Amino acid sequence: MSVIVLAVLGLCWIVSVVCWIIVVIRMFGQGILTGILGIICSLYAMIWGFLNKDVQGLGAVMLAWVLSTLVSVGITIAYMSTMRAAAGAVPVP
Amino acid sequence: MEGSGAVAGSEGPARAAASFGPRLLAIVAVAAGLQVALVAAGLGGLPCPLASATGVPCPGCGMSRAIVALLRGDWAEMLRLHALAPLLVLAGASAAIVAVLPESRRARVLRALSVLESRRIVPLAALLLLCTYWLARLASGWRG
Repeated sequence: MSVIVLAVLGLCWIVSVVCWIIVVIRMFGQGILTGILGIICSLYAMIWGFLNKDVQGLGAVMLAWVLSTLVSVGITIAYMSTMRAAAGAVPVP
Repeated sequence: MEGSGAVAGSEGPARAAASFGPRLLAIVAVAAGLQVALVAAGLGGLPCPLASATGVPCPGCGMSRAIVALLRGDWAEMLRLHALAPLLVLAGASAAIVAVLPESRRARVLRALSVLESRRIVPLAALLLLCTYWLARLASGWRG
């Protein structure tokens, strides 16, 4: 994996964790149990963030979180496919 | 909505449930089902932001795999991955049952839940349990 792709991946991970922390802090503002759910299940935090993005002013945070997650998942899948193809596990078309 | 007034001043999941009701539950159910299905198929799922960025597993890391192990009946694997998985499954199942209850009964359950949340000792005890479990796992060398 090239240095640029690794840098993009690292940036996406950092953006994701920062967005997650922002959303979890807002969730704790709504109640401790909600915050706990946000910690143990980042998926729930993401859904909660989307449903409350207008009330909590999380529009930009949620956009950044989703984009960074999509890019990091995409890069990971592409990398794994490349590795599998290189290993001969998946025939290259 | 009959229950809205009763829980309007409350906070946390009770208020969320009162505000979004079946809509929130449906979205969470679909997303959770998708996540568990992806993990069960060995395709991963939504990556943990903390573990991805820092390499340190979050308090919930291993939960999806633990739920898959629980659904397969592999209790030993479930305990190894995340011992609190049954609690989350129980909470999810309870939420699903509450969502299909008649309006009046649902309002009563939400009211009881908001009373439980307002007693700080219960959520704080849950938070303490989660943090203790997380730190114990980190101390034992757990890396997700």
